Amino acid sequence: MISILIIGLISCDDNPTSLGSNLLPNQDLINVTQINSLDAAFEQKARFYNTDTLDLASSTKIFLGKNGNVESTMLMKFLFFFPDSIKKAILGDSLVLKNAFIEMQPIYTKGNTNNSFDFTVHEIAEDWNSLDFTIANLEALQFNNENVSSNHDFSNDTLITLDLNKALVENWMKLFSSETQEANYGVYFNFTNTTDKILGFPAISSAEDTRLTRLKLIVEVPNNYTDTLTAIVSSDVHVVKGKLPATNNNNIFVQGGIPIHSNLFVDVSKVPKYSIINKATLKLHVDESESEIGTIKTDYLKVALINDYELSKTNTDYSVINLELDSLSYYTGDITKYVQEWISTGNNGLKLFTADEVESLNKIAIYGSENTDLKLRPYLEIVYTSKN
Amino acid sequence: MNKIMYYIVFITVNFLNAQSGAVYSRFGIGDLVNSHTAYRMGFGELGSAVIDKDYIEGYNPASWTNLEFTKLGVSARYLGTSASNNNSKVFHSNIIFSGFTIGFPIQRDLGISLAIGLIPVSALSYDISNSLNNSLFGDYKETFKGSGSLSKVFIGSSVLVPTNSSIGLAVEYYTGANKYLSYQDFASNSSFKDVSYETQYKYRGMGTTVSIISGNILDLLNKSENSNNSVLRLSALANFASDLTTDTSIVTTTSIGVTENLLGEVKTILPTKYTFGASYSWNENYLILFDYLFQPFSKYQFNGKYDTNLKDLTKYSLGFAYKDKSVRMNSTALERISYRFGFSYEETQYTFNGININQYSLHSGITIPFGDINMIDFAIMAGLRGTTENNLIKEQFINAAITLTLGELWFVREDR
Repeated sequence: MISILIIGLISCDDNPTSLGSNLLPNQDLINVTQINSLDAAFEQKARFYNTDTLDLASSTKIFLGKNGNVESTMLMKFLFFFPDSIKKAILGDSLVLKNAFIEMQPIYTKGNTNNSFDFTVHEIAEDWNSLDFTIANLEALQFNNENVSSNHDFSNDTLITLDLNKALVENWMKLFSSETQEANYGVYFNFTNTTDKILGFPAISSAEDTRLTRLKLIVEVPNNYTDTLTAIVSSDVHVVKGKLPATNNNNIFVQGGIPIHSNLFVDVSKVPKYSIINKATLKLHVDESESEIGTIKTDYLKVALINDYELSKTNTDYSVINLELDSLSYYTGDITKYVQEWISTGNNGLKLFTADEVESLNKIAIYGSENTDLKLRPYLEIVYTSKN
Repeated sequence: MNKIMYYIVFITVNFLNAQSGAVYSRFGIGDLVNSHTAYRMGFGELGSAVIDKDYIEGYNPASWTNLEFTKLGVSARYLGTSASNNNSKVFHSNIIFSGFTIGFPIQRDLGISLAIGLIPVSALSYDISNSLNNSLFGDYKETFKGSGSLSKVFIGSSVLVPTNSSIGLAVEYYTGANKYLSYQDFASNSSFKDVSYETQYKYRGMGTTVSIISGNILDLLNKSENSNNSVLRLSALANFASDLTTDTSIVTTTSIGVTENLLGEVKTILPTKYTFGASYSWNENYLILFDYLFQPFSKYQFNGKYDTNLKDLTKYSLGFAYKDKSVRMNSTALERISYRFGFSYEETQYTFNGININQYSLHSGITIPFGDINMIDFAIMAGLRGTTENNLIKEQFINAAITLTLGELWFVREDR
């Protein structure tokens, strides 16, 4: 009976109400505050720098050319996987190479499309590995100075063709027929001095199978047939060199390829200790006058929490956050977790870089922390809850 | 016996589902638990001048001198409160485990007994929720919860002194924690995540209770005509708590997880509690009790600060008990039942803008013996606390208690 009585009494418990809320001591109450870096005059600083840690092997584009502060050269191999009948014909010296030409389909352009663009192609004299090829490897690369290309045709915006030295290709065919293709080291593409734009082509790690660079061979077995053989690029890599951009507007920069990163520190000490961040939004204004954007825009910047502003060491406890391009004038995103970490543990700032830095050479100028127009500086808006 | 064990288990399990109570407990260390047994609740919660060989409990160590057998007492309480102000009303209930005590006689002739136990000192429980809306958050809810308790573990002894007075001393270790939660709960489609603050106070410290219960004052006054076996006793009790060391911390639930921030170690100063009482029994069957309790909570301090919502506490209780001591062991259960009634008035420690929170309550209880030396006590108290004046809260409460007391023969050499 008692147990039934107790169950009955407990089950009658009402939902909590506001009764008594007027008696709560001030120290229990929680306040919601909205603050921003502009009105509250948050101290801030920013810097930009280049880093050579970018792994370009996974890029879905390879780049060739020079524009602004950046230049890129590229290497390609064309290994042959033709039918045995072709191999037999090569071995029997019955196959005649009539012509060899390369087709390249650009999918990205940095710089004015009307700017000049040309390049030379050189036979590479040593083996190379696209997975770990770096600037240092490029500088030590052994290649033949002879330009093995001719008849460059840029008349079509979406297709570039060039003839490749027949002797070089015939040698590759022999290596194929003798099953020693490992001695086919491919070719090195270098831009000419007059070049003032950069083109990007699909790399083999992309899904653009139909637009990959290809080597076409017009072959003939006399008195028998003429055929066109196609060899898709089988290995490629590009190497980007560049220098830090100059700015007249106290800007900071992020750029792919080189790459260039920026660090940003915003002092949030005006948010009380032990506050809980409900929402923190970062907005970065783009200075279009100092930006160099290619034909594919950079839709996102990435921000990463860092443990040291000067050393730019990333805090791996936190995942990277995207800032989305909103119109053309600014990037914005939610960095609530970062600001909470700054309040709870310590503030060493954050690192900015482009989300497509291995896929693009876009240079994005962001108005910096010392811009004379306060409204253009990095803007941080925080909504937080605090106790009295 | 099996049924009794069932009740114990049942109440212990339900203790885990404790619900909320009045917001008044937010101040100081919470609502004070003066009586942790059904026995004392039945006659007004105090009864400091009672010596009863059938019970062992932690309230007054001087009351243990007549102990004949090893006794184990376990108690639990139900608290049901209907709280209201001028606008709304809400019902809360709460079950608390209210302690256990075990005591045994060491030397019966000298009244030397030893007891240890764990008993509650205070309890904190409230739950307040506000539905809000603003342009920033949209619809959201703020919740304020308090929970926790302060208890003490004690070991003590009693002894008879000339004039047949009883003296008791207990050394106590205070321990417990109070938690104060402030919580923001956003709508499920909100871009804001729920956040919370939980302030925690963890208490620890030593204390002492010193008490005395006089022998029969009537004998001392040479009332030789004391033909109806009347006994008049007086008592005094003081409960000292040293400054309680209090670890304070704030636990925040944020977008990056739960973080505990230690704020530091502070002192909580609990004022000394004094109780003075008198009991008068006659014909061995009837007992009248009167007690006065005083605890100056105006001297309560937390981290060196006084609390303006606390004032001195006083409590008066008047009780009556009936027990037919002529019945024998083979009497029916109904004949062996004893009864208690009481009334108490308390000027609690709470005050708000000059308005004091007072409490009136009626008490009743019974004891049902079973076996030779075991018993189960039930008690109920009902009353009013507070006022709706100045938008304060008036509580209509009904509390119930159950205490199981089991006897055993330990350590006593039987005379041959």
